[in-house]
Amino acid sequence: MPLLLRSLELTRFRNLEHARLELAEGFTVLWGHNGAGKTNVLEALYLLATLRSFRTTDLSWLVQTEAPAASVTLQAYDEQVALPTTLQVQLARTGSGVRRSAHADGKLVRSAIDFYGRLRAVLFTPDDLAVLRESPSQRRQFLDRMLFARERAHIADVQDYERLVRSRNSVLRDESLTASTREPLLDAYESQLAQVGARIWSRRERLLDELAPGARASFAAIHGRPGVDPAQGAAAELGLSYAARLGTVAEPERAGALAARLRERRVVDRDRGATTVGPHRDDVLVRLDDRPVGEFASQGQTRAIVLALKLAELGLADQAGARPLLLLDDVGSELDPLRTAALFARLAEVSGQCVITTTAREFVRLPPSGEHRFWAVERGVVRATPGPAGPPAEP
Amino acid sequence: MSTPVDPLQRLATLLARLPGIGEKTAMRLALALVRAEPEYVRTLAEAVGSVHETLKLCRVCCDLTPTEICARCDDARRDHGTICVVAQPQDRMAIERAGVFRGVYHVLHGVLDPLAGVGPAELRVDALLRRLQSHDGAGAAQDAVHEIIVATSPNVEGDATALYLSRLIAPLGVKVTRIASGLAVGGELEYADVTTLHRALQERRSL
Repeated sequence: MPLLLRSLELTRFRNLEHARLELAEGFTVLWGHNGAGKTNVLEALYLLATLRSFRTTDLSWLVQTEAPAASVTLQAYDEQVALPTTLQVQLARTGSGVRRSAHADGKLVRSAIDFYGRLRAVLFTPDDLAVLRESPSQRRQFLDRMLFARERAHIADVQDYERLVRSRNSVLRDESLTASTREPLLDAYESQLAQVGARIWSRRERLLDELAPGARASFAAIHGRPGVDPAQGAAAELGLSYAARLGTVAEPERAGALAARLRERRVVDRDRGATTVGPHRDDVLVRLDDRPVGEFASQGQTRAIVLALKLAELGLADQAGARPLLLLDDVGSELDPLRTAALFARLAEVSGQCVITTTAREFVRLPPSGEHRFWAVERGVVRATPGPAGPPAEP
Repeated sequence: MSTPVDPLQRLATLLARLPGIGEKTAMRLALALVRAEPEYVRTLAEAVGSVHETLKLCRVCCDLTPTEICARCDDARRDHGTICVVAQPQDRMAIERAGVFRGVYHVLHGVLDPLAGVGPAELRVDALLRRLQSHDGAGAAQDAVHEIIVATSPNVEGDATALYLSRLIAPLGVKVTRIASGLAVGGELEYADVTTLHRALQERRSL
């Protein structure tokens, strides 16, 4: 459902009593000091796309203190059917928390699954840097979340897989079982683990193969433009590969290989009380010029790699005809001016509509062509302001 | 100072412990009993009170029965060579209502779920194995078990139970099969959920 977003209205949402802002066809820039409420606007758009917040699992935080309810309303134009459309999410306080209801064109949408995907959004926040810096689980989650949006079967498989791992672990740890009971029980869990695990493995690997070319091109464009920064030399090449615990195995043989390895590991796994092989232990290997980035990547490189991954995600959703909205929180603060300029040039090439928050307007280098809008956010008030080229506005 | 007992609330509280009965429904049932014919209430109380004495597990199939051996195990017209293994008595009832199965049953009284503390010892698995071995050893020809149909639900626990049984039984030379799963008959394909469609495609068969 390719949407052209027109305007967003927020009522009693976080610190925003009431705000209405038009969204540009190109970049919409929200600027203001830390804590002014810029990110609340991104959070509202993200809520319309996913019915969740990226900052908290408790949606009652999204309702202004003391207020009984909050709402966010998006006016958009659906190009596929050539009709204007309205999406709205309401959050009403209840005794224990908050009740969420979603409306499309004034009609209540009862099932969350029917609401997802009306608006597709790709979000980048500074927290996403954890994808590179922290444990492999962050990288697996990054892939799984993208797969959830693409293939619903993946959700059920991941849930089943987790349950099967816990069941196998609990059989391994159960000291009261005799070997003649334990072994066939393990057979039962391992044969299911192998089937489901092989599907998870293959979907993740296929996704990564699809993401890699776009990410490589975006990274080169943002970070390593030849000639832009002589100290860095030519663009380092970004390599992404799925690192399965089992190494390289052809797709049809994966279930068999997983089953065999699980069986081999029974003794070791029993000692550890845990299942030590399978896609829940896999990782994504990120390399620059064939060196794993974990060892040496700078702040700027890390940021550029994660941005490149997000832009690759955006590119895939775009190919699927979704025309996703790009949400960038606090962009530019770790990139030098040349790279910031390169980032915006790349964004102009690959993204459709894009909403950005920043504390300093000089970080934002918008392409000269295209329609852009600037909004100043200060103490919960949002108002239109000229762009950086105009006279400086006092927030 | 002791609080006086509220008999109505006491009855409702006891009823609310049953599965599928919430507090409001429990109170409605309790009030209905207060207003009902005394004769009906007495008969109901009797039936409830004697349920543990009158019902026991069938010596052969572990289904609930008032007799030593249940009506199905005692029926010579049924095929005693085919055993359908189910998790609960109500699963047996569902298959029986369909009227399409002429073999006999075995009730496990649960499915494997190590996360909830249910292992093979908590299920009637040994009784099932004894049924297979007694025929095997005696060589009693006409009723030797030749097929076990595992009819547990198609989910992680039901599948694990089926696989576990197949590992135990296959070495005894008895064929083990699993009921099919996939699209509901008479249903609309477009309304099927992804997991069901996935299974249906995976377990397709040639025409």
